[in-house]
Parts: sequence; structure tokens; C-alpha cells
Amino acid sequence: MVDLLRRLTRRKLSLVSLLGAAFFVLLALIGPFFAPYGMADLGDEALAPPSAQHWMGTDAVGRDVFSRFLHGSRVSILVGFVAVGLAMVVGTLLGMVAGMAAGRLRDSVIMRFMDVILSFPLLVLVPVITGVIGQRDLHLGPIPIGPEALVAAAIGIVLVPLFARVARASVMAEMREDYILAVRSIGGRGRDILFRNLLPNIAAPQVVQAAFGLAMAVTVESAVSFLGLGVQPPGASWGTMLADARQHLLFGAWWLVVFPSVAIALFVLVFNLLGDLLRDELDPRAKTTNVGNGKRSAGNGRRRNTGETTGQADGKVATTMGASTR
Amino acid sequence: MTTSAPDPATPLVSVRDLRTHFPVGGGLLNRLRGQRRVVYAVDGVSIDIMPRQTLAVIGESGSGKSTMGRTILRLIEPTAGTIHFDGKDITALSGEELRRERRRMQMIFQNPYSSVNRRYRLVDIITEPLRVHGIGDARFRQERAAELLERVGLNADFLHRYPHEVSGGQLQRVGIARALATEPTFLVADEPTASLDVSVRAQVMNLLADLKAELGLTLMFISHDLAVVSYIADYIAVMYLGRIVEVGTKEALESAPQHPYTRALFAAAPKPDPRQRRTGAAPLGEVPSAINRPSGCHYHPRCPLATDICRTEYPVLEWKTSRQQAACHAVPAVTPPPGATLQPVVKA
Amino acid sequence: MSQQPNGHQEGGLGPADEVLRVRGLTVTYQSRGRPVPAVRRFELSVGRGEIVGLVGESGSGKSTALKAILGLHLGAETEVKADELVLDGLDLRSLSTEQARRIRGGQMSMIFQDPINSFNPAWTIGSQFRRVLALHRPDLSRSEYDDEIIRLLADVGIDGRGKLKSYPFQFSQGQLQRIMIAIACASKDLKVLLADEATTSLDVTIEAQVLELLRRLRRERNLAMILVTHDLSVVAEMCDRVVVMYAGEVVEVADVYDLFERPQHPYTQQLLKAIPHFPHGGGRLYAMRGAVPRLDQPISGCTFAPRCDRHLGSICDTVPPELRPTANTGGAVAACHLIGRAEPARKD
Repeated sequence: MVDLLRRLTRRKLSLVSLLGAAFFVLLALIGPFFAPYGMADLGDEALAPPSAQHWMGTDAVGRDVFSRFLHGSRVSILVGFVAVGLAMVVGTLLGMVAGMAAGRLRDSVIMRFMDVILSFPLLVLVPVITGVIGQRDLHLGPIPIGPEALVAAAIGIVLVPLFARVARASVMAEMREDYILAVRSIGGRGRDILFRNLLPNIAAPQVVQAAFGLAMAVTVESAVSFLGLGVQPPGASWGTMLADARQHLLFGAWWLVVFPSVAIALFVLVFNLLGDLLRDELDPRAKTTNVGNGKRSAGNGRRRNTGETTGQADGKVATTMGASTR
Repeated sequence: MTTSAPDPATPLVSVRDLRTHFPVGGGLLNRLRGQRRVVYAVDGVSIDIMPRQTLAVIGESGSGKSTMGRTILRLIEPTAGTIHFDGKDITALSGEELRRERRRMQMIFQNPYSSVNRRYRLVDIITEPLRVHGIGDARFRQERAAELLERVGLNADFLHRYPHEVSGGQLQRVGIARALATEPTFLVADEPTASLDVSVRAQVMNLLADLKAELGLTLMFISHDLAVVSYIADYIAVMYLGRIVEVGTKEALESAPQHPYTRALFAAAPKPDPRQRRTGAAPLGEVPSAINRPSGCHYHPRCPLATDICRTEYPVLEWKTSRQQAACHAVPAVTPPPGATLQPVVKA
Repeated sequence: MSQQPNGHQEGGLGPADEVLRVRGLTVTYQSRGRPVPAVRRFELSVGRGEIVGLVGESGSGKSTALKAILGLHLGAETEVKADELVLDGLDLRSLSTEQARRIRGGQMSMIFQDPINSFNPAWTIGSQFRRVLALHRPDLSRSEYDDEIIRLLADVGIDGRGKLKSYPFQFSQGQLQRIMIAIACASKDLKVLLADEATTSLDVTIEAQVLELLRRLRRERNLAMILVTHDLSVVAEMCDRVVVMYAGEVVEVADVYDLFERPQHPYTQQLLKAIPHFPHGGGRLYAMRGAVPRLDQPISGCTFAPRCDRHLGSICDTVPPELRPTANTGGAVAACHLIGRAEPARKD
């Protein structure tokens, strides 16, 4: 992990995306403490452009946009993380179970269920889920769960297939490896294989998916809230702020639109970039193991072995075809 | 180590009419029509392995030797046949009972790097069998790991390394250490030296020979490398397309192979001596597909001795000399030596 | 059947007979920010129609050296340097990209280890072949391609009629290897064929067939070959001369008979002792101590010194030995401080 971070900080682009991600996390955690006004405090000046008292101006009912922005950022970002967290746990588990039972009934059932979720447009499924469960205040025992949590859960459900598919593919690839057979040969049970052996080895692609998933989750939340089907007013989120802004664009109230939009765009950019870069770093081909370690590649040399084998895979066909390989 | 000495007259591993078939492709339509293509990976193998003996199984790709090794350990489910281990029918066992039997029969894999969890430290790799079976506490396991590591000739400070930090030969020894963790009596070694350099191969082979003697292990050694087999085997079984075509003592097979395929194999192996270059033509043809096998004796398309009967009738595995059996119409049979089981007579 | 090619001279090759000459080849690649000299000061001469074996274990650099000779892309950060790299009078280092591309597959081509990995799985055999003909057979018109392909395939023992539209996965390993050889030899200008572990993953009977094919090609076309392998038996079987590599350097060069009978370098001597023989004579296998050194750590003195059983003293640990002429004939050299000293070479 430390090694990974070190590698990431080496290149400028990945450093920037890491810092960006850190910024958003911080924004979500401590942003609202810096809000000069309350989120729902009504003020005197409606639709005032940015000024010294209101850094991002005010909205139609006089609320400080900056304060709403800080609170809204927390909501949007946390919804994103909760949704992805949920999806990752459930999706990875389902995907692993399906992958281990590849080809059998369990696998088919799980994956068809995933297909069902995927066949719905996101913007339809999330409101359906929240609509069905209703905008009540739920309680998990003594803990109150606000409506935002509901939205997060709904988005989480919708993102489950994303993780399930990748987990399943990773597991199917790993299952072909001898070490899984070795665990069975020493008497390992299903859960030994699942948790102790498979999980650590498929974690990397899941983290990559998480980065992409975050970008998706936030986008979905914004869209759904914008349509009025997610976070409800007076709650703030990037989506609801955009919804508020819609009617007032004609009056030139650009400050209502620009800040949430830029925030969404930056967030998506940063996390997509992070996902890409993580994927590059975690690709086995990027790793070169030590050379000269007394081993020669067996017939089907795995690409993560010595650098020699890697060169081979690239140059081969091109050479016999006489094409330029330099 | 206290293990009751096995009765030398009863086989430790006894396989009867073992078959492992894999369905191939097919698709829904074909299945409905009743047409299912099958890979006959192992097709009717019967063999006994006596305690403390080493049976080498040789053959080329498609012979089914690896599949047979895994089926005997029930890592692959047999399609038919029985496997008896130390008198117990393990084909009938399920779940927890099978898991417990696994402590006594272990496997060593070909590629050391892919047969261990690359995220585990060596100590975790070696102690995993102990953890899985709930043997001992953490301290006991740590000590045992150190002990096992030394037994395979590695320093105890290797315990905290990761697989990619050690060489192939060293990692293969770790694999052997892992296999020994639960004190098994039977080991299946599936091409354990094929991925290793020549200079390292000898280390691992010497280790296996030593362990075999020290621990009284019974070994099934699967390999395509005749020289390595010659070093360690007591008996050799030659497989072709899922069946044993010849089996006998090492000395008998090496001095007088009976089956034409065995002879072709031995002749085809290049020798590390330029003065012994082969002048004859190379053996013909290739191993046919294990799905569409030739009729009758599977070897007949490539066999210089093939006659009509070879094309229609599969030859029975029978005694051709007092110390080996072969399945070939062209070689005359002899009367079975007295008291012979499927395993040729044990040399003292 | 192997015969000495015409013009093979004792005491080194004259310039007219030398078809490939490499001197001072060094390949350094980057691993985790550290330079790894995979090949150092490599040198090699190949005569017309001569088969040279390039032998070594993992980490020896033999494959890397071969690919560098052909000019294959070894990685964006890999540095390849050579004092001389001459193919039949043509300096390969000073070629433009286009000229280099024409050499590859034209005058010098290569076959690889795993035949199934060497073909584009999405192209038919026919189309892959046609592409090569388009590049390297300007003497043919498009309409003549298919006939020529059939002829080339027949040359390697494959009946290609009706098979040009087949995909690689429909052929067996042995067939694919032959097809790869046919493609590599499609050019009429071919002078040197490079083979990188070409028979390592083949069954021994198929290996015998492929080796026979290579011998025939050498005979018929006076083709020079460099066979990279870790298998000394293949070397004994096929090669006229042998270059032994260890940890990225050439440690010995000799005529094949001399190499096996009077190996000069301690590594070669130990390696030959470590090869298990079939049939096995009895006694323990000779195991080399230690392991191949890691190339990403700087090595002082002789690379083999830590494992050498004829270690002279501090000179071996501090001064890297140069290649010096040995008692063997034909331009044999070895990189060992023992060479040229008063003590006679020990014959083991």
C-alpha cells in the first residue's frame, strides 16, 4: 500500500489526482464547519451575486450559497462514499460467490439478477427504490437514518453489478491458478478459499472500480436530486442546488449554477483519473519481479514473471510478420 | 512422529477402473440432442501403490497423468471407479470426512509461484494446512513451520519472506514443506521439477529422495522427464490417452520396454551426449485428440507394429514379463507370476 | 542425421564464412528504478550453415541476447549497445527502421517457445502467411501466394490443402510449431534462424520431429541457426558449437564434442554433472550449491565465484575474468581465471 502511494506520487498526474481526492474527502468531512451561515438560514437579500458577505452569493430565498455549498458537498460526497461502500461489499461478495460457482446454477442466478439491475436506466431505478420505500425517516434500531441515507442505499444497489462483475471475472481467473487447488488439497473449505485466499488477491481491481463507482454515484445523486427524486429540499446537495438554480438562470444568476456544476465535474474528473491511474499501477504487467531467481518460465509463462517473458509477448507475432517493432 | 507402520502387503492406494471424463463445449442444442463431446482424460485406470513405494507416471500431453493424480486426491471428481486409501473407500466420502482424510494425502505442484498465495509470507503458506485443520496454536504452528523449513534445507529466517523474494527452487521446497505440514503418508508430486532450472532440479530431487527415506513416504511422481523419473522411481507406469499402456519395475521398463509407445518415448528423448546422437527417424505422428480417440488400440495410427486386430480391439493390460505389464496385441503374454496383484512383484 | 556443414573450419571462422558476428553486446533494462544489466559483453560468431547452441539457465540473458540481435523491442527504457553486430557484412546497428524491418523475417528470423502464443488467434493461418509473403517475397505475385504457402507447408510436413482458412487453435502444438518454422523460413534470403526455446514446451516425441525438421532445413538451405535452450540434451543432439551463458555473460564457447568431454569453465563442469541421466546409474544427483545471482545487485569479480568449487581466492571475487582461449580447439574460449594457469584442466 505504501509502495503504491509512493509510486503514485512520483508522477505529476497521479499526484494531482490523489490530492484532488484528498481535497474532496476533507471537504466532505470538515467543510460544513467553515460555513458562515446555516444551511437553511433565510436572509434578506435574495439572488445576490457573490460578495464579501456571501462568497458565492445568495439564492432565491436568501440563503447563503457558500454555506449550502459546503453542506451540500458533504451530502453529495458522503452519499457517494456510502453508496460505493455498500455496493463494494455486497457486490464483491456476490461476485466472488458467483465466480467460485462459475457455470453452475448459483452463478447464473446471481448474474441474471445483476443483469436485471443493469437493464434499468439508473435514473429510473433509483427513484423507484426511494419511491417504494418512501421518504420516511427510517430507524435502524435507535439510529435514525435520514432520507439521504436512503438515496445512498438506492444508488448502492444500483452500483452492485459493477463490482459483482469485476469480482466474478477476477475470481474466475484466480480459480484457474494452482494455489486455489492447493488450498483445497490441504483441506480448505469454501470460506477459507473465499476470504483468506481469493479476497486479498482480487482486492486491487475492486479498488479501481470503487474510484469509478464514486464518480458514477455522485453523478447519479446529482441527477436524481436535480429531478427532485433524491435528496429533498430544504436539504442541500449539488443536485438540489442545481434544481434550485434552474428557474433563475434566465435572470443571470450564474452563481447558482456554476459552483455545483464545477464541483461535480471536478469530482468526476478526479476520481475517474484516479481510477485510471490506479488501474495502470495495479496491472501486473507494470510490476517487474526480480531477475535471475533460478526459475525459468514454464510453457505458458505467466506474464508477471521475469521481464524476459513480457518482451516476448509483445514482439513475437510482429517479428514473424516482419513488421517494425522498434 | 508416530504412525502405525502400514502393512507392506496391502496397497496404500488402490485404484480400480478410474475414469474422469470432462464434457466439452456442447451448448444447449447439442445437449438436448444427446450429443455431448467428452474428453476421456482418464479412462479405466487400475493400479495399486504399495506403502513406501514410488510410482512414477510418465506420458506426454493428453495422457491424463496430471488428471489422474488430481483425481486420486479427489481434487477432481472421478466420473466412475473407486479409490481406496489405506483401506478406506474415499470415493464414498464427502465433505468433512474427506477434508479430514486430506491430512494424510498431499500434493506438490509444478509451478511454485502459482501454487502459493502470492500475498502470504512463507510462514503463512507452510502453516496454512495447520490453520485449516485447527491443529495447534499460533506458537506451535510457528515452531512447526521453522522445523519444516529446516527439514527442506532452508534457513528459518526465510519464514518472513514473500514468494517473489525467493528463487523458484527455494519456493518449490516451501511447497514441499507445506505438503509435509500435516504429516501425510502419501504424496502426489505433479511435475515438481519441470519449472526449475537444471542446477536446481537436482537439489529438489535429492530432497524428495531423502524425505521419502526419512519419513517413509509413499510417492506418486508424475513427470514427462525420463531422467528425473529414473532417479526416484521404484515403478513406472506409462500413460497414453487416459490409459496405462505399460507398468512395471523401473529396471524392467528401462532395460526392456514392451509397449511400442514406451519404446518410442525412450528413443525420442535426446541424450546429453553428442556421441549418442540419434540417427534413426523420429517417431511418427502426434498424440491424437482425447475426444476423438482412435478405435481399438489408441496408439495404432502411430505404431510400427499395428495389425488389423489393433484397429478394432483394445488390448488388455497383461503380464508380458515377470516384472511388467503392457497393453499390446503384438507382444505375447506370459503367465502371471505367482501371487501377483496389479502391482508387479515387489523387489525385496 | 547431422553432418558437419561444408566450410566449417577449425581454429575460428574466416570472414567469408561468418554470417553473423556479435561483439560487445550489452542490454540494460530498468526495474523499479534500478538498472539491470541483463546481458553484458556478449559475443557470438555464427558460420554459414552452422548450428550454434546458446545455453543457460534463468537469468543467464540468453533470450534477451537473442532478441537484441534481432532488434526486437525490449522495453521503452531498455538500453541496447553493441560494438559489432554484423549480418553477412551488413552492420545492423546503422540501419534505418525500414531497413531493419526488412531484415527481420527476411535475412534473419526467429521462432519462439509457445507456438500457440506466436500467432494472432483472430487471423487464419492463410492470412498470416500471406502477410509474410507480401513482406518478404517480392518475387511472387499475389495470385501465386496460396500455391507457395502449400509448398512451404509441405516442406515442413504439413498438408496445407484446405487448411488455409483454419485458425491457429485448430492445430496441434507440433503442427503450429512447424507452421511457425515455415513462416520464419518463407523468405528466400534467409541466412540465420534464431530459435528461442523452440522445443521446450513440446512433448518429447514432437520435439524429436521438430529437431529433425530443423536439421533438414540446415542441410537443404545451408541455414545458420542459433538455438537458445536450457536443455543440454538438445544442444548435444543438434549443435556444432556451444555458447554457455551465466548471469548475463558468456562463460564458455566450445565445439560441442569438446564441451561435453572437456568442459573448461567450472559452471559448465558443474552443469554437466548436475544433469540427471536416463537411465539413472545410481547414487545421489549432483546438486550445485547456491543460486543464480540477482542481476539488479552489483556483482564484483566473477559472477560464478560464490558457487565455484575451484575458487582461486580473492582474484575471483574482485577481478571479472576475460574470455581466454582454452585448450580446446576451434576458437574455444572460457572466462575463468584458471585458464592459462599451470594446473591442467580437470576432467570430471
